[in-house]
Amino acid sequence: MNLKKLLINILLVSYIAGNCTFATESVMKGVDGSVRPVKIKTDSDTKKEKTYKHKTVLKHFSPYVLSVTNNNSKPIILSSASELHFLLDNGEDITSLSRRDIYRKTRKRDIGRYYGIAIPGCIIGGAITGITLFIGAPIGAAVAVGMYVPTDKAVRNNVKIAQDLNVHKDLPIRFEPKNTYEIRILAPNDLNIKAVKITNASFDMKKMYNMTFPVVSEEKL
Amino acid sequence: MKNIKNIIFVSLLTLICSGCNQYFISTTPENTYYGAYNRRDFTHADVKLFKKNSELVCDGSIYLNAPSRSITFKNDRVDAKMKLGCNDGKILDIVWQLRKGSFKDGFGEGVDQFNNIYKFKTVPKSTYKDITGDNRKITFPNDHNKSYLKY
Repeated sequence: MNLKKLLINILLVSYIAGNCTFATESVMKGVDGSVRPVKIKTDSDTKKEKTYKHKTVLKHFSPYVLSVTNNNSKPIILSSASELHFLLDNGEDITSLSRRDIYRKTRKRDIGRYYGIAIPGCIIGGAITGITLFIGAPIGAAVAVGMYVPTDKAVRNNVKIAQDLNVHKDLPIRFEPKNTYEIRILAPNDLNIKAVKITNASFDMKKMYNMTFPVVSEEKL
Repeated sequence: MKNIKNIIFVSLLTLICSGCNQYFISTTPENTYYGAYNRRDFTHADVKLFKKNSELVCDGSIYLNAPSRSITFKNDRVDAKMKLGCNDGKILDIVWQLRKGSFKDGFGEGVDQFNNIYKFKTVPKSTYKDITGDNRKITFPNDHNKSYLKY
């Protein structure tokens, strides 16, 4: 009878302890990776295409590239709860904004900001057209071109920022074995980052792991 | 004077409310998933997705991989990438082909993190209501901190 009780207790304790370990996050093994700060374009740089030069982004964020290689035999999958954290020199742990929020913060407003020039421009252009047909038309054309060019430039820059975040260096939802992924990370400007952590990664969505990648020296892309 | 004020008020109201939802349904699995997206700027739209007879809700964003302001080829279909996070932990990564000018009229195909395949197509609101039988109004909150997709 005592033996039965003992067995039940052992089973109960192992079940609870087992569940406890599943509930906590462990460190993922078999993953290599590092975070490199990206060189920002200065006037003396000649290799234009290999440096980061989006001014609207650089106002708020510093660009990094995270390289991740999965050396396990199974793919690593992320979940919707996966977050990106910045581990700082002073031991603080800061959660990154989502890619959508980063884009919203860094994009140049594409229509609204030019109404201030366009509306008075049109009124003046229209008024002059009313008085002398010969002067009004070229002024109207100049206003139209002056509106179109900066708006178009803003839209095209926004597209490049979005492509960089979401096409070329997106965070994949699944890290296939033996593959290396490059991920764009934009960290707030005023942080001294020691490492980057991805939370809630797993093999089967049951046991969750953290993946931590150290920041290495500045890279010349 | 009063008439002019009314006209200005109505025009502003029309401008503010002019963002319309584009509805879509899944073709694989057949009509199981349905949702809508609402364009926010020239490149991005916010998305919500539901599963039929289920509590599953997903949200995220879709963005067009081309500037839609170009004068030519406005009717061409270009890549648009949709990423959604769901309340059961799933993440969907779907690539759409949408009209460049209107951000509408297209089809999409993609996978979740378990490599299950999903296919979607855009439908008019009336078809969407007939197929889904769902009359709830889909709204898109501005606060992205509450989104299921964390990063």
